[in-house]
Amino acid sequence: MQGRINQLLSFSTFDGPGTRAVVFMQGCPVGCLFCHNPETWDAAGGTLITLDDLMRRLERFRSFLSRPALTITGGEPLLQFDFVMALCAAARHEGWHVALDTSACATPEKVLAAAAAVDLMMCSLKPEADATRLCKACGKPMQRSIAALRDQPTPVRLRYVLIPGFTDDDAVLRSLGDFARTFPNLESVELEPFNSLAREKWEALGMQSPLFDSPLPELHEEAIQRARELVGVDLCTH
Amino acid sequence: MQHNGVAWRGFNGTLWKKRVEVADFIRENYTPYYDGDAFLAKTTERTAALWAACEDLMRQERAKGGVLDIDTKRVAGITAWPPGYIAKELEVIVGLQTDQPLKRMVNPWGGWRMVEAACEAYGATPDPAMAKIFTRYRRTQNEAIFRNYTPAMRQARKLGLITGLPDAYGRGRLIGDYRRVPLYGTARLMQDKEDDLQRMDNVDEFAIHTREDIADQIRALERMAQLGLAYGCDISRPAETAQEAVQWLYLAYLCAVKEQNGAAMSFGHNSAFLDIYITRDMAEGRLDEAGAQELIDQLTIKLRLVRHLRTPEYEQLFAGDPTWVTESLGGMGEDGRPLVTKTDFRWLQTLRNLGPSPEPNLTVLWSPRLPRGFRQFCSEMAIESSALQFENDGLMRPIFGDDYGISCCVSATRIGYDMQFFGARVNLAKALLLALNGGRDEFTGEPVVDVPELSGDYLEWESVWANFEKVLEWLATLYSRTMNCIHYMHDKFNYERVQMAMINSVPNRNMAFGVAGLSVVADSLAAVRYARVRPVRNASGLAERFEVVGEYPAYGNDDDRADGLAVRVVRTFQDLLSRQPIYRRANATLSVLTITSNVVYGSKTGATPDGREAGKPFAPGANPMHGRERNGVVAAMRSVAKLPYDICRDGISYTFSITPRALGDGEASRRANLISLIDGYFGAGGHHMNVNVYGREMLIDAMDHPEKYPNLTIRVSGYAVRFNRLSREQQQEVIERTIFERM
Ligand code: SF4
Repeated sequence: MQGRINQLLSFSTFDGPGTRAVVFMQGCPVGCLFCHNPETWDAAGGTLITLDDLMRRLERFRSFLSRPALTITGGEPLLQFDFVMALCAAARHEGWHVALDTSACATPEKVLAAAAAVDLMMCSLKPEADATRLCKACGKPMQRSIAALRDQPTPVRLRYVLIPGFTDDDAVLRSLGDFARTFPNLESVELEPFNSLAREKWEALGMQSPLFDSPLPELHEEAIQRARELVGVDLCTH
Repeated sequence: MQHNGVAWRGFNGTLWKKRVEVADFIRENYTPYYDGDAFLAKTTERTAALWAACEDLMRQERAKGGVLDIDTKRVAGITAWPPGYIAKELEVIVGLQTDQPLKRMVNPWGGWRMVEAACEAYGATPDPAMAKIFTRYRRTQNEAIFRNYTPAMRQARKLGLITGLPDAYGRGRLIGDYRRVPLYGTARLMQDKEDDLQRMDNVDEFAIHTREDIADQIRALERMAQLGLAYGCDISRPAETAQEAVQWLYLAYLCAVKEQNGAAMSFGHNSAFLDIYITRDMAEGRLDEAGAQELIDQLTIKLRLVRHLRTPEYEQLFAGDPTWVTESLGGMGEDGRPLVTKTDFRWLQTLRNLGPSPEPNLTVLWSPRLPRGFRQFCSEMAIESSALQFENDGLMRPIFGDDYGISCCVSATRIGYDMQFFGARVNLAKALLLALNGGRDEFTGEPVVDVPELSGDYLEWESVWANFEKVLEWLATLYSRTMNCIHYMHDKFNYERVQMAMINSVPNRNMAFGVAGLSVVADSLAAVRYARVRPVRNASGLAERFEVVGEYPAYGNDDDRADGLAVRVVRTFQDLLSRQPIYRRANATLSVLTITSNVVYGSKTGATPDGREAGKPFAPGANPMHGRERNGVVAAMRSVAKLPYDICRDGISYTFSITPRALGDGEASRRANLISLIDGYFGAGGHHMNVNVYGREMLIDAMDHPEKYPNLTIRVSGYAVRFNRLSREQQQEVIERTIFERM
């Protein structure tokens, strides 16, 4: 079995609890203008790797991590559904803690099946397209798929990118909190302040995004704290 | 021996009493410590005042361009100066290299030209009478070596193919077993050397040479005792208290740095030894924790004041005035007990009590079996200070036993049993360019070695490797002959009688060869082999740059194709070196280490097939090239760990830099994650790791506003340096290095 990956990162403290290896799957149809990995969009890009090879490489990182933990992200990992499911199964069989980082841009059935195959779901909530036009795909169906995870035993982490002037509207943040509270299996909400570090990537790909073309106002610690309060401090990590 | 009853009261064991065997004394008497750092004490007021005075002097030193004062009237030597003090009433441990703190000695034994150049650079004039002696009557090491260099050696040196050679100053790298002085006293050590001298009665060249050496050592011991008396310390007898043990130990080391100006003058592995005396004094009610910490703080202050007179060119190779007073901590005993004592903690505590500093170069001999509390404290201090390095005790102990120390950065040395001939390093990237340019220098076009020109538009793997092997074969011969010449003359004209007086009379000798530019070479070979590389040649046929078509696997991504090439290069070169006849039957060892010279070596090297532009720095030590580690830190470490330590017994230096947030979220997780990374790296066979935890923004800020970061210490390659002592170019290079982070 083969999959297309963009990168295999051996050590990360940014993609879920503890120290983790991270597989970046190739291909994403969502097209967020704030995307930090636009090089993963092209579904025909990346490199082909067999499941066996990927597992072999992964195993070589095990002894450096505080415990064997893997995050599958992308791109949108559910685009290569069969491969990702096989990867989850293989990794968990070898004792890895597996987290799936997804926008849930897939049918609710697939999202539910994925949730059953992992230890942690990390779902990126996208802004609704008609409101901000930040994503090519509409946020609504994705939100519905995420909502379907409510009745599942797998813990859920909700992630949301804070972009000053775009996604930090008071009402939107409040409703994000309300939405999050409907999850009995919620682990936390992660507010991720936007930064422009991916500008070079966008330029290298010859793509345009209003978020990277010109500098945005800086997000101050107070603004982040305010956003946390609007969502609900008890829900937010740090 | 009448004093030993007092000095050795309460000590166990018999073997070490019969013969000089410090390791046995330690094994019989030390107390392993298994808990945490809660017992540690702060600096005493007296020591804080003393350190404040020293910091003030160091500020003046920096303000004066790096050198506070030079004594141009006297020749460096054990008893050349009357005793000197910083502030006598504050000093618990006494002794300075000259009669004033930070006043530098003129050391002409290595070479007169270096003395002249260094004096001139700092606006001083060496004494004419001294000049006359060392140019007319007394031959120096430097003069003798240059008379013996062949044209090929001179050329290789000039082009930057063999560089950093200790041919104008002391070779350093020797660690005397300074502990022998407090444990036995110089009188006993002299008696032992006399006995050795009598035993060595064969009249062949080997015996005569050894006898001459021992005779020198005996003279050194006499002088050392005189120096002790000048400071009011009778070091001819063993130390009787902890204060005396620290004082005697330091005086023994001080004699070495009064006579020798080697690049690395390392201190050894002294904590368990000192801890025995401290523990005894505490049991006798003579010392409390504050007093014990004060001894180590004051010793550290003295070690931080060691200076040598250098030229500005030397600074390019070894930036920041380093002295490599390397002190090894921890390690596991061969009997299964950890060699961790409270005094290992006290050494680390100096980084808090006196602030972080490059010296002494604190080096943790790391093992997963070390007590948890110690591992945590080491991790914490590494994160806090970026001043620690870690070396793999599990790799070294089976080879060197448990009483070894690190010399310089990564060179394991059995204390009192080994000596080494420091061999600097060759520039492998330049050697590869010779192979690609028909044996001609890539800049000047002058012929250097006889290898065929390569034909064809693209470089073809088989013929590139064949040529490279030929160049390496030629280079190994030239390099080892150059080293033989240097060390013959060093022994003859600049013999380290002090350190050797504290090493066994017939030591094991290693010739410590080295390589630089390994990752550039591995990536260049990978490009030739796995992508297509077209040399763009100028009118005279020299490759000015290289076009790489397609992608190649780069060293640093846990990809065996590229990593295997790095391994192949060190194997090939070490194999060639070990076939050379070596001076005094030394063993050939190899290091992958650059210090800060990766910048200078890069500047002397043309564009390389990996895509590196002409003149650009190499990565330090065994590091992958900056920015080519696409799979994160663990994959990079995996790659470096593939370099075999059994081939590179002089050490493999890896410098790891990460931002605090990338290491972990919160202090506790950072501490735990660093421990996992070190364990993982060493478990995979890695040898050495410098740990830096900082962000690029801070370094840039420190470059622009040095006054805001007077004590910012970072690890470069096997040693630590104050960031503000690096040249702008070197600072830039440090900033461009991979610092693992994530957006
Ligand atoms: S879903 Fe993720 S990978 Fe896809 S475009 Fe949006 S941010 Fe990028």
